Amino acid sequence: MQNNTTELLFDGLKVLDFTWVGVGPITTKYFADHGADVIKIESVSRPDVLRGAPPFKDAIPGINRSQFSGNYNSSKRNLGVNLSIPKALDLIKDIIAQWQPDVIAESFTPRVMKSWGLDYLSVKKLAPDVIYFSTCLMGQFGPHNNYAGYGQLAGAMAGFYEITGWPDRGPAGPYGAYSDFLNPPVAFGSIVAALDYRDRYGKGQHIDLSQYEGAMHFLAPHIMKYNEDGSILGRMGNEDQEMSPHGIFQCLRKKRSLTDTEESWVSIAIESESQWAEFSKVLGLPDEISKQSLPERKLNKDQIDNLISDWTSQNDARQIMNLLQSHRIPCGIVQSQSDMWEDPQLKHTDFFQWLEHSEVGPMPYDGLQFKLSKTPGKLTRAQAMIGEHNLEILEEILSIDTSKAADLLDQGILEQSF
Amino acid sequence: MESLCPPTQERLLPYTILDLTEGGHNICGRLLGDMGAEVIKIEPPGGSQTRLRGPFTKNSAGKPKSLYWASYNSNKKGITLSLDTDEGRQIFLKLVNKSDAILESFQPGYLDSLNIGFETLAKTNPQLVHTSMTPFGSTGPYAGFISTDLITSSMGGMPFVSGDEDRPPVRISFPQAELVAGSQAFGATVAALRHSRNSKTGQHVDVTEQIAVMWTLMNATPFPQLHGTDVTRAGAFRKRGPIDARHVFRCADGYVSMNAQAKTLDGFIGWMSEEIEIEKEILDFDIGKWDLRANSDPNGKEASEFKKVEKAIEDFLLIKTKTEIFERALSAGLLVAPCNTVEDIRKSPQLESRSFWIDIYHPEFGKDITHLGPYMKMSETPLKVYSPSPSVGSDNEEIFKSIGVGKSKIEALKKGGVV
Repeated sequence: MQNNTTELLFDGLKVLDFTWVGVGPITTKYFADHGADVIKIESVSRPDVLRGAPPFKDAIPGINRSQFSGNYNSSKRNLGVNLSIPKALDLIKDIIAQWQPDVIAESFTPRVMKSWGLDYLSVKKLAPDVIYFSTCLMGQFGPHNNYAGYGQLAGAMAGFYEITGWPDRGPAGPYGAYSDFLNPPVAFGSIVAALDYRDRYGKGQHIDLSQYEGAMHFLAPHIMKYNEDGSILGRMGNEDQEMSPHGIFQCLRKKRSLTDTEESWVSIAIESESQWAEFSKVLGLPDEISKQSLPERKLNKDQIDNLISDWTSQNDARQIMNLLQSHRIPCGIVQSQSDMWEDPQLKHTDFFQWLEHSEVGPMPYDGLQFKLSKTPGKLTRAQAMIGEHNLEILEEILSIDTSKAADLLDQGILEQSF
Repeated sequence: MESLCPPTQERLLPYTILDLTEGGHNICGRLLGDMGAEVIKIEPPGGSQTRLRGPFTKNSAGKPKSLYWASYNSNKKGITLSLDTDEGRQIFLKLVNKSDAILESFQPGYLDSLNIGFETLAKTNPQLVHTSMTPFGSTGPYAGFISTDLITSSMGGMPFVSGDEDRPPVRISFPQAELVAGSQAFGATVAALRHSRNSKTGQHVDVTEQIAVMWTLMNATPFPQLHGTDVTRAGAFRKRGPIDARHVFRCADGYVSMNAQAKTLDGFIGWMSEEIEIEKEILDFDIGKWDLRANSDPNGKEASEFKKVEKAIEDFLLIKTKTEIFERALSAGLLVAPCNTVEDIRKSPQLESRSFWIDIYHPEFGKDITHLGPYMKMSETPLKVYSPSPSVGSDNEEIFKSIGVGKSKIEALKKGGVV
């Protein structure tokens, strides 16, 4: 465990965070978990929509109970301000001028920050060398720039729905707002790159990340293929063009300790002829099967998959994985979330974290995305409630005292969710 | 965009990076290259395994060449070097001394076995950032496991929540695990490079595919601890309170995806009432008041009203095309979007107006290849695709010369299988 003397990547860095939902908050979270002072601006009248979405503490909804938003907002402070009130905008501009944030991040459609007089060119007058990060679904300019939506829709537009599921059926996923999770690491890197540049040349800049465009980079070769010869990758279930057998197979049902889930599956991927020979031996497959070449195995896929299922369905998923891995055959458990909470590799890296939320107590957090040997970083606090740090932030930055802050709260300029 | 300033000459990332990765991990170096770093791709003599990864397209001589390689290796220089030889390792150490970071995706322990692991390299160059990308991590009980995209995706939890309820879990048909790890590695490497420049100390960056995949599971991971349940696959449906609400709908020429929230459902009822007869009952529903929670009655009034609206939309969309639906979404602010094929993507006026497609001549293909543009737009330091992916050893001469290895020496090294 780290102590207080551990070096942090972003010690002293200041981030003013107007983001909500997925891409923005996950991007600023990297800074927060690695030592930056990230102040998230949020309002009770229009909170981060994920506060209304499950999972919730004890499965009971509530503005301070969602771990959907919690997971993306660790280690940040929270200033509750109702930006629809003109005086609140003056307060925000004072904060920008006084605090001189290194980074301002926002994830609205392009018209929103402009309508508040908080767009890059306006803010630059208050904080000339700021790195201003904007991300929205379609990008800051272009005919569709103000189209608002969630990552599920950007994932569909970028092509992920068309290639997830079964060839004989319609699209089936991938689960969730997929593009929301592809973009943050690259967004984070680009902001740090801009900081690196500013360290050397003293110039800030505006970053425009279209989540739709970003997501396509994760399908780039397949898009380039269409550009060259018009061919389109379709849904392939679990098949692979270069490997066979290649699939997900049912195992013995097994009740999990945290949930009532019983279904169990393993994935098996045979990459080479030597792996196929070894696999055939472990399963005791007859010669007429084990001698088949890759094209033959692809042709007889159904028959071979059935033979594999006959074997896996009588065995425990973990035992199958350990056995096949001991023979150097690629195999893994198709893990449920409850499986991951008990995954020995994730335990080894101390992945999951529990943090104490000010109102609802201990909450379960996903851990850091990567491990740095000298500056490891740490989730320092649970997601703050809206306005949890109003007093300390206003006092620190604008020397506003408690009674003045109470006035601002009465006027509805400041807000808090507790 | 008006706020974009003219480009400046200074490089965004003034670093030299040695890229020894394979497969999707190549995206890390590609992103660093887009941001101005000098990325030197080191391939074993004969070429990288990634050149054998599809999709392929034929070059002007009719020979299939990898577009996978081409897409994630543009903006890199390319050299060949065998790390399995003493001479190769000596040259590698010279390069390490002149570099700021190395990126690698070898099996844990492989570089150590050649005595060029992190500890050794850090002695040679204390400011070096050493980024490792592996399926499960450099240490731990699964560090030695062998893996593929299907395996790491499964261990990271994505297939369990994807696919149709009545069939096995499915993976995304285009491999993602290496790519999401590569993009995490990019962010971490840039951060460690800046830290190294400021503090004069390098470090080891450990990125795993499993954790990178887990970070794409949206809200799933806390469910077992908070609700005592696992999120399971539901295909074209999503839980909305007690109901399985459709989020993928068939339309006249394909599919669209929808978030079935009140404003969008209302917007659809408005659109339908402009064009077709709809039941008065549906028009009278007060959608904004629906309060569908997990414990609501699945056969209650609100739930059955929801299903009625959904069915009406389902029928209506069958006569509309993806383009018509998206145009309506744009004008009325509806949360519905086409499930695009690549063909649709290529026609997007939005991408066109943002100059997303970039044609550059590629010597390996003997023709122009259309590339995806840089990942984002940066006003002060515009990103560019300035060079296509390297051919095997195409920059040997220039790079080796910079560490004092001349032409005749390169010839000798070639004969010895080092280069």
